[in-house]
Amino acid sequence: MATREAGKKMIMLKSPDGMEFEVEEAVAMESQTIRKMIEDDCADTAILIPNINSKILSRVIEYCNKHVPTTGATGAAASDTVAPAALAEDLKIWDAEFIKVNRATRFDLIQAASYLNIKGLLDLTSQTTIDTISDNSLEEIRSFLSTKNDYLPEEEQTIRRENQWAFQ
Amino acid sequence: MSTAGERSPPREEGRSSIRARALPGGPPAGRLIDDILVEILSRVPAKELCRCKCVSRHWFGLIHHPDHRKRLPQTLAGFFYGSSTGTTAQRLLELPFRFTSVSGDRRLPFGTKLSFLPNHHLPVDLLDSCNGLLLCRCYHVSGGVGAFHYVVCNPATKKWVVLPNSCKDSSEVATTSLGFDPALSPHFHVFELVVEHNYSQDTELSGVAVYSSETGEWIHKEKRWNRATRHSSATVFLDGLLFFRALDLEYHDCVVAVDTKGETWMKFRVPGGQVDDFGPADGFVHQMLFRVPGGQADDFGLAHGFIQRSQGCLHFANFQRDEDGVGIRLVVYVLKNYESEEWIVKHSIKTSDICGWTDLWLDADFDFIAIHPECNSLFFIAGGVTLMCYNMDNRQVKVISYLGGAKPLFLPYVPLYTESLSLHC
Repeated sequence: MATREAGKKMIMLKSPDGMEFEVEEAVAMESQTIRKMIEDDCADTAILIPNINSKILSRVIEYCNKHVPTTGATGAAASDTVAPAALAEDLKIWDAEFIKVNRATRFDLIQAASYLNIKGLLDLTSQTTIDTISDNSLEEIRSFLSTKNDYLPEEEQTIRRENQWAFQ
Repeated sequence: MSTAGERSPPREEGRSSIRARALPGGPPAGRLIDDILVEILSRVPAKELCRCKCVSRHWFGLIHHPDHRKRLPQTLAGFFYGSSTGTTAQRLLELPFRFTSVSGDRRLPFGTKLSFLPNHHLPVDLLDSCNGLLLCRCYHVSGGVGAFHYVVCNPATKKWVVLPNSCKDSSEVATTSLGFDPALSPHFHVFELVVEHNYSQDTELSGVAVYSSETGEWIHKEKRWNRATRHSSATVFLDGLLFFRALDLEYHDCVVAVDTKGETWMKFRVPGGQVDDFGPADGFVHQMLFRVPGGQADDFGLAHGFIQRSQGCLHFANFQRDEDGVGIRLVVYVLKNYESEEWIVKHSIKTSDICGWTDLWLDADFDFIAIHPECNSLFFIAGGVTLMCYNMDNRQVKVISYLGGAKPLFLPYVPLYTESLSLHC
């Protein structure tokens, strides 16, 4: 991995619970939302990230740190001393560890990834939910996502009949 | 659309509450806010999304909301049908078209008259339907009797585009098909299978004319085939290729594929030709042998089956004489690898083992209509009036609806709510 040189531009991210995180600009720009703020010159020295508490924000930064493209100070492409395949494999293992969190944390991470527009993190965090929806019964989906069945019995019957094919 | 859809109109209050719940403190523990739920649902396959409609009214409302449905995968809503005209060579639907949903609901997802089209007071014929777009022939007065333009439209967004003329006389065109796959490209293609000289049943296919919405131009490529099917619903657009049925120069019954440039051609012998002593060579002998009625000879008959796109692969279904020489077998094949040209048997069943089936259907007007794009359901029409569905997984047949009228043409419809770059107002 290319070394991060001193003198790189740093950005301060603030969570609503008052914590401050100093991160490299390149790391913060993994978030398309923050990237846009920086590019539009809306970012002063510190950016307040609403809705994301410090616990989740620190995990998001951890993810971005790991996933920021390894570029040199000149912005040249990653050095090819590390094979891309090995790098990808390493990231995959790291991601699998990273996502070993409880459901509430995972939902918070999904929301953070969506708000900050970090595609890789959104893909990673929402996969379990997608799998749950794809592989489980309606009851299990409702329970997993804390959703109540508010259909009247006859309504549910009609809607089940119309979508019968999807249950086979 | 569905009756529940009327009961659960788009719920604006649902969306404003998103904002409310997105305020500090976030949603209730363990729940996702609606915007994020929709984000996740947009990554779920179409079949699972249909199941999700049954989770709750709230989810149903989210999935059907006009702001969301353009982001969510859509699937087969139903079929356009009508009485085929006997006056022209092509198979097409004349106004007014009718519609039936896959659950038998006959209400149209949009106006029957395509009244958003230009000159809609003049006749409009529906030729093909592909992934949300419709290919129409719109007649106009200025060009003389029978003069028409091709128009491609999206009835869900009411956008359309008029195509330039292909310079082919309609008597030279056996079939016109639409190729559109938003997963591959925002652009569509229109294929004319061109025949030589005057149109008659035995006229050879001489090539293809392809219109690209990207270039706005037609290209013409020559390629000879002995006859092409004129059953317009029998063409399939998949992987950027148009598949259709034809006889090659040795009179082998084939599935032919041509790309959108008219340059790459592939030929696949249809499977299942080995069941009789005559071999696969002559499709028409084959058809006579089976004595399975299959409409006009130019449709290639029922024993010759039909091609369909399902679950991302080309499927072929037909009826074959069973080994005992008495029974009839329904066989469904899938072509997964174009290089190896190998048809894999996906489903094979004696019709007498199908729950709810009667072989008497094969004596009357029977026609294959479609295979569901997402699951193992085969749609067909029996007796010319009954739309039915055969489920390969539980081996049961069920009636979807009774439709009046003569043997019609059925065009499957999958709504497309996203704006297409290639269409305009």
